[in-house]
Amino acid sequence: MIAIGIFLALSATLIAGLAIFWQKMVSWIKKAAEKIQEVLKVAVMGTKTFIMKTQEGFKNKSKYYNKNKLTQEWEETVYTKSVPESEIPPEILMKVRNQELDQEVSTTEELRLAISA
Amino acid sequence: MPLGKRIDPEEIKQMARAMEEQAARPGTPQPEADSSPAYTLFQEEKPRYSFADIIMNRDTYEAIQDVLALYEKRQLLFDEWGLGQTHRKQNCAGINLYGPSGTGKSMAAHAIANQLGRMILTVDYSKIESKYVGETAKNLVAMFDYAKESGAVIFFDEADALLSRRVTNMSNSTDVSVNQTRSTLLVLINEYNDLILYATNFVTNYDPAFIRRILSHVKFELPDEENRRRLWSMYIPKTLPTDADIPGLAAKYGGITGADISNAVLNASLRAARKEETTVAHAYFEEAVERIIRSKTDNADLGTMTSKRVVSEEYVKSQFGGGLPE
Repeated sequence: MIAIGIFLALSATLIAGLAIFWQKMVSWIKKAAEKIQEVLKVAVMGTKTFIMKTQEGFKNKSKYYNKNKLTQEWEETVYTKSVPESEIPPEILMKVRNQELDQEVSTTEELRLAISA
Repeated sequence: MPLGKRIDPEEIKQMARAMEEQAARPGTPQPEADSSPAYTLFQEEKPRYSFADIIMNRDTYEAIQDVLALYEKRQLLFDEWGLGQTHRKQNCAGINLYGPSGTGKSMAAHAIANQLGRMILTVDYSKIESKYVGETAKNLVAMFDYAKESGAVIFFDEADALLSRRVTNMSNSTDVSVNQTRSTLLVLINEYNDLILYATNFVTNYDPAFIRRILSHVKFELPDEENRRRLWSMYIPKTLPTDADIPGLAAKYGGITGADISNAVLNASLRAARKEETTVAHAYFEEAVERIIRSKTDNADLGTMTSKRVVSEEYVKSQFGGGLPE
């Protein structure tokens, strides 16, 4: 599980130490979580990240989870964003390259390892 | 029902009957007394644009014209050249116009109908979709019937709203209903013997079963420098007092759409009018287009919000290894 607080607490110095792919991922997750909080007025509680191969190239996908205080229901918000193949770390590229189109491949664990290294 | 399975036409009738029975069960929300026939939900219109009104890249235009030959050269293709024997199922076509927003896809749909001398029936999802079980499918059937009778070309704008992937792991009644609607639409498209137009910014959201049933996918690109120059010239009225350097604007600002250029012209003019100036200065156009580019960059950094939905607690737990995020 990756709690969203980890991303919001990551400082610029720590982010700078990561590979560009993970740097951009962390920055993207922070931005999207802030946008969700601003627009939907909800507190994001957790996130999962994926990568997939599509007809239009590779895309990162991030899913955000929050519990709606009014309805007490869980909600999932999904963002996708294109990522240049040249920026994808080789081990991730190997995982996703042989998958079928639009098949989600989780990158959550790799991201967790990258930011805790 | 597995994805991509070919559905017998009889199945749609059974499906409709099943949905009606489900809707009639006690406790199922019922529509209020229906005072008007479903037909009144739809209204075709005269196409608002022709190809003369649109500035598009040559390849895009050529790709559209190729498909329209199916209608304009029907006798040659299907009778004289014998394609009627080998491509019997493809004597009707779907054209999917896809690409970034603001690149003229909806205008092109109108221009296609105009070229064929037909009316256009733009699908209004707010009138098709219903919270009542089975109603959405019935409205779709009524819409196709209406199009057949009126002779209008059906146009699904923002088509990914209806043509997106069916849910593979149905977990609630909403998922079931969504899948029923999409399966119904697949059958209707299969059985429909006329042109259907689709436009979308998110072609990757389409269910592959729909993609297979569309004869031609035409990509709309952002305008190149030459087309940007033509767009600036088109959107700056001849009567507008301005010292704008159109070739300069076209060369300096790439990655923008015709809609962006139209907005920049209006915003620059608004500023000059508010300041009671007699000329719309070139600098105002630059400021306006730079504001547009900045806002687009901010959005691009964020990516696209592709879905938001209610999910069960079990689903959330399954995503987080059995626990809940805190």
